[in-house]
Amino acid sequence: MDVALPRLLVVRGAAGSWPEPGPGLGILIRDVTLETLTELCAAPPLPLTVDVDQVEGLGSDLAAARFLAGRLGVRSAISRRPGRAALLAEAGILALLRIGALDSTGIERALATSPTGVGTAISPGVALPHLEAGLRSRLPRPLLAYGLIRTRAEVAACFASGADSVAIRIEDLDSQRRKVDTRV
Amino acid sequence: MPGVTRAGGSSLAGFLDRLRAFPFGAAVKGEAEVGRALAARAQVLFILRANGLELAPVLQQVHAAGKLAAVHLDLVDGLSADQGGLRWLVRCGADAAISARGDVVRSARAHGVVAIQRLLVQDEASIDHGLAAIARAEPDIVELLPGVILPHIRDLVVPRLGRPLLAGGFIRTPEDATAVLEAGALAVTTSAEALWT
Repeated sequence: MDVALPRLLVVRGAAGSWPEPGPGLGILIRDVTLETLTELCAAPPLPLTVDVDQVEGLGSDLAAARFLAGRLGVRSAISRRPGRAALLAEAGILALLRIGALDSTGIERALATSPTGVGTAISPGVALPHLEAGLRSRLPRPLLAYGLIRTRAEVAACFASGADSVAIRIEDLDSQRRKVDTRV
Repeated sequence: MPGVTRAGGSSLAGFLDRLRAFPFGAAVKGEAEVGRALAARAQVLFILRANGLELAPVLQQVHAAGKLAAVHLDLVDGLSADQGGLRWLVRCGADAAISARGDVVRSARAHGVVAIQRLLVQDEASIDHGLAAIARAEPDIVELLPGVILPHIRDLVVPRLGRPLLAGGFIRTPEDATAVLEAGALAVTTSAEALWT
């Protein structure tokens, strides 16, 4: 897979706005309809990652994955369903399996179902630094820290804990740009 | 059904008193862990993994040791997370039932056992949905997972909760536990035995 995740992914939904482009910056789209997704993908100013479980109207089959890759030009996508993540990868998309970091037992169970060739989106991302190092090292790469990361210290802790990319809210972006090296 | 016991003082007030006295619940996943927890300082065992159909003797042991038991209906083997599964737990002598399901939580209260609802946090939307579900189900206690992040999200949860809060998940060190308790948790639930022995 020759697609790399941007260092920072700014989360936006239908009502959000595009952030100022910058190196190492991308957009994570969620909470949209399929129609809105196609509009947002028409001329995005930054690389797009899509949380496909949060797109109303989008199917979970190979046709949908191929539509994302071929018609919308989506390069990376997230799903909490292993089968769906595998189909995204089959369509040529950098796929991440969203794993709930609720307790170590749950992560172990999720890892057992993780398809080959699929990375990891750990949620809530703010929990990543609190996982045991041995468990973190077993999370398939690339690794996105996704959810409830709101401060510079939390972003830095996620990168220090092995995250390849961190998802943040657009309202936190300016402070992150000043402190975080967003170069890929 | 083997003979049923229920510990004295397993009312909500009694349950909370035990956790206030020693704010570390022993999260146990097997017979050996139950044995160690019975000999430890923990006053309340949180049974996450067990054969739910054979729980009564285990709960008798817990009560004989003067401790209380909360059983996770969504996780134990052999039971479904519904009204029937809950009635079985009650008959086995569980002092508290844990579930993420609002209907189960409501029934637990109706059956006179302490009702603990899990708040599973992955993002801000899950907090909003979870708090709305809690408001509908009105559990006695809420358990937040992963508990270790409570200090990071205290402002999003604690002021909106209005009921006792437990925190479980990835709490392994005394420092983790102290931060979580200072953030507003009544107690932590943890499988890290060093914290409850």
